Amino acid sequence: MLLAKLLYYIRGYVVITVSGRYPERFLNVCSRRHILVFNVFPCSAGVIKCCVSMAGFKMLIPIARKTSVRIKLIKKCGLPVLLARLKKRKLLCFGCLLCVLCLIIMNQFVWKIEIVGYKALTNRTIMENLEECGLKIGAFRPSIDEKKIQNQMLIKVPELSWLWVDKNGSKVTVEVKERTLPPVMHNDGAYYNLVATKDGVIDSMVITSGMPMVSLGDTVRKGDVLVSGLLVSEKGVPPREVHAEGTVTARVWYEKTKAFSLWSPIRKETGEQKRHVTLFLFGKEIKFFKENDITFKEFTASEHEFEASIFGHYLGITLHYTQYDELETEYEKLSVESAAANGVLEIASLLDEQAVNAKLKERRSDYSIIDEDTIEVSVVAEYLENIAEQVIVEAPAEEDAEE
Amino acid sequence: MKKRMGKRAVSARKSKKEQLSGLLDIPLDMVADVPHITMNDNRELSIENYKSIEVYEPVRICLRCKTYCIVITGNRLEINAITDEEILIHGDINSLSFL
Repeated sequence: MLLAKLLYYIRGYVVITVSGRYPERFLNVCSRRHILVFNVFPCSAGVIKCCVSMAGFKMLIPIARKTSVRIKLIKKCGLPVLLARLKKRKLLCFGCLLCVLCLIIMNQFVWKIEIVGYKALTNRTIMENLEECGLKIGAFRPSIDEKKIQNQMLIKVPELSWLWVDKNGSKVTVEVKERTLPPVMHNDGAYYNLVATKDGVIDSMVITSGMPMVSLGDTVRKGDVLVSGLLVSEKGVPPREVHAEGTVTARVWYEKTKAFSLWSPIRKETGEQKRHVTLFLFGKEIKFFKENDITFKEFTASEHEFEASIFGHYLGITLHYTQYDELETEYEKLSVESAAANGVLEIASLLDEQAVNAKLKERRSDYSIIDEDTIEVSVVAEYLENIAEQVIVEAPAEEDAEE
Repeated sequence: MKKRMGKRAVSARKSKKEQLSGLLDIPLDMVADVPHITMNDNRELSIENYKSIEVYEPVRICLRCKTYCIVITGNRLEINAITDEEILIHGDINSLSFL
């Protein structure tokens, strides 16, 4: 049906009313003479409204005479009518054509480069290298050779193991994968010790290389040697240096005390909002706002971006806006228990951030009332954590001199 | 004897084209000039091989076919498309009768 309507529109049609004693006869004659009639509906007794093709409309006069009906033209619709109207407004047509032409030409350049997949490398480093390889904002799109850029980038940046350049209209997406670099090699004669990074009590040890200097249940302090890389034999065999490796898990305690107010802040949106709209037009940034015009004391900011594209092809035009919503803070007095529970959760999350790659074993908390509005919460948490760290022991300089 | 005559009379009513379609198991509208009616829900009706429109009102449409009339009753009946062979009717169709 959509296709038929589209066809009617392209060919052009007229809307008419047919009035007479027998408008049905008019329809019958039209159909017999192969005149396209559609969307017929009766308006009142003896009057019908219908659409007829442009070509068919010219043939209606003899039919109207024959069937004794009166035809009244209501309006002309379709593409031929639109084109006829536009013929009179040549400057508008020229402007539209120029706009489309401009869009097509500008679409031949790169206006946005997106880099994804990097971790250790920075966006700037990759961009600089890409620029040297010929991929930059404003580069002529058909001249970009993806394979050449891939090869050049992999040679230029040794940290990269894989790179993919994807052109999508005026936007180029560069996907990278970083290489896992081999460990740094040290001079002969140097060896590694495993040294404690924190105070704790040894809970378990898995040593794959080296000589253990502590045993289970020992209390160690930060900097103590846990596993030595220098293997010394009692049978007179000369000492041998190895890289001490292994995991030494210890019970480590973290403690934190913090004061909390019983008045808990509740933030609500006031409904006031402001938008900072920026238009990125073919690599140029056009701001539609004044800097530092946000007068809200408290607010949240959310960023939104819309890219203009046709059939998934980026056209080089991006609309970006930041929405600022004003907030107001109201305070609500909590009970001592609920304030203490909130405080424990907050401190526990801080301690979890401190103890990276550690497993929580036990947590104890306590609180004391300082005054009628403040309490002090203290949390002691015990974690099981690998405290061993490889520390290089360089070969003594004197021996090198003797050699 | 009378019974035989009766059977002959009944079979004579069927045209040769109809007999052929029955014999070869071909749809009737392919060989004989009979209306082919397609209806989707009670909202869309398509009729092929009609002859002419007899009456067209918002609540009633009467179409002349070769041997009988098809009367469509309903509300807001609208002819969406009309050609010399096919007519497409939209609206709330209440009944379809053959007179």
